[in-house]
Amino acid sequence: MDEIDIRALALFFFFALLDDRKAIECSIQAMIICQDRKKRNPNIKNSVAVIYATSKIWDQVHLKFQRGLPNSSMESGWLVPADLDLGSWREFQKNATNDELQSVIWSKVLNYSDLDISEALGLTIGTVRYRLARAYRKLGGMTHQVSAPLGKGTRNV
Amino acid sequence: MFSDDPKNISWSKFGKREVSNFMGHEMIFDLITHSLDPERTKAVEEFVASSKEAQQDMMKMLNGIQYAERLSETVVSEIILGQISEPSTYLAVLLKKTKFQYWPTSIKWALEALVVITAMIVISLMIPWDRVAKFHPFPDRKETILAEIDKTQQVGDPAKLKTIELSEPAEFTDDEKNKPEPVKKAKDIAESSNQAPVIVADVPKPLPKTKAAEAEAVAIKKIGEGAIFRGRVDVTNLEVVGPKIAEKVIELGGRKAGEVELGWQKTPGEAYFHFTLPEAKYEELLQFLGTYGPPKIKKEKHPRVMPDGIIRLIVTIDEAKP
Repeated sequence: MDEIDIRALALFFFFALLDDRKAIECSIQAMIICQDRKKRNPNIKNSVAVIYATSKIWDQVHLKFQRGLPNSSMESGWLVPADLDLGSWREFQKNATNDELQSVIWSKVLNYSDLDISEALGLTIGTVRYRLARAYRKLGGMTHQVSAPLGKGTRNV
Repeated sequence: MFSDDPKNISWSKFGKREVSNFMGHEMIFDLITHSLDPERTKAVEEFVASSKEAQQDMMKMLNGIQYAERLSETVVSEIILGQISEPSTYLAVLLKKTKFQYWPTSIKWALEALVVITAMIVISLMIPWDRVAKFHPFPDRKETILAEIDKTQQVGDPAKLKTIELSEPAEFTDDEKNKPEPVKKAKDIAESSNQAPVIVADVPKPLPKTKAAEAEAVAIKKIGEGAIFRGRVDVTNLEVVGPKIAEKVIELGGRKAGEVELGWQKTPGEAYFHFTLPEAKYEELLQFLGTYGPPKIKKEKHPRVMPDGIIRLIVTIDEAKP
């Protein structure tokens, strides 16, 4: 596990929980699962191990806290882009389903491929893409920035 | 109607491969991510261009993707990465945050003592003491024991007491020879034998307060209230000394107890004396035994209770080893 993977763990739980202290605690637990997974199967990709571990820990902790609660200590040690309003994300984090929330973080925040996500979760790529489409539609509805051109929507993402 | 020949597939009336409203919406994400073949791409683009609702849907997705991409620019500090990569236990974190190592030694020791005391209190509270108190390795010894009584006196109102006639005095059983039997109820004894009057434990009404009754009340006692004198004397020439001791015991008013005669040859070189003796004669007996060898006799607790003034002894006379 290198620094990129540790950063991925931290970012996943930071955006999933919106609580820096809990994010660190969960990241530590996920780190242990990742290392165990790698030990059992050295050929497994780091991205797959990270997705598997974060999914496991998320299943354990997501019922223990209430989403959308403000956290005063948030962002301490986490440098979010200055011009980015986290209100939209907070709204999305509060209203999105578990599948949608996780899919967006894995796919766009951590930049993992759909194939890795489907492999780690044991799902088809079609299912992963369906969840992503639903999640982006919901997240886009909560943001107020409209910058893409209308008409031929083939914006390279 | 569809044809097997791809060239003869009947498209729409304009000869184009158009998509339905439902399929168009579902394929917008594929369009954005370039996952469609060129023909499909063209069809979906035309669908989006023709549908305002599809355009809004597409804009939402693009905004969502754009927003999520910005989130990925978040930087995690080295401190946090260090905390995650070198996980420590909760205890370690607690000690670190409280700066325990900088506390005065006296406070540290007091705190440790407090923890130990608390642990001991918790453990002592958790132990089921009532069960421990009731626990006994020999549960049979808790039963009431029918003991020797004076059978010659008339006891209260015979009609109120369950009595039996004994043809001869009650005998003791040898501790060495017979294993302790389960205590029989007095009723059973009364039914099985015609012997001297014996007060039974489960007399329903209280006894009349006569001297005889008070003496008989001693008959039923619980364990630990009686006693026995048990010991040994090493003598030389046991064959001669043994009968002399037996004669002396009888002379002092002693009576054999148990089933064997006084001076029973238990094993070669060992004579067994189980008898009762007036308590006043005990010292005299010790002096007599002392003439043959140092008596080693101890008083022990015993469940059987003797009448006042009478003691019971089990003395083993051994042939002294050269």
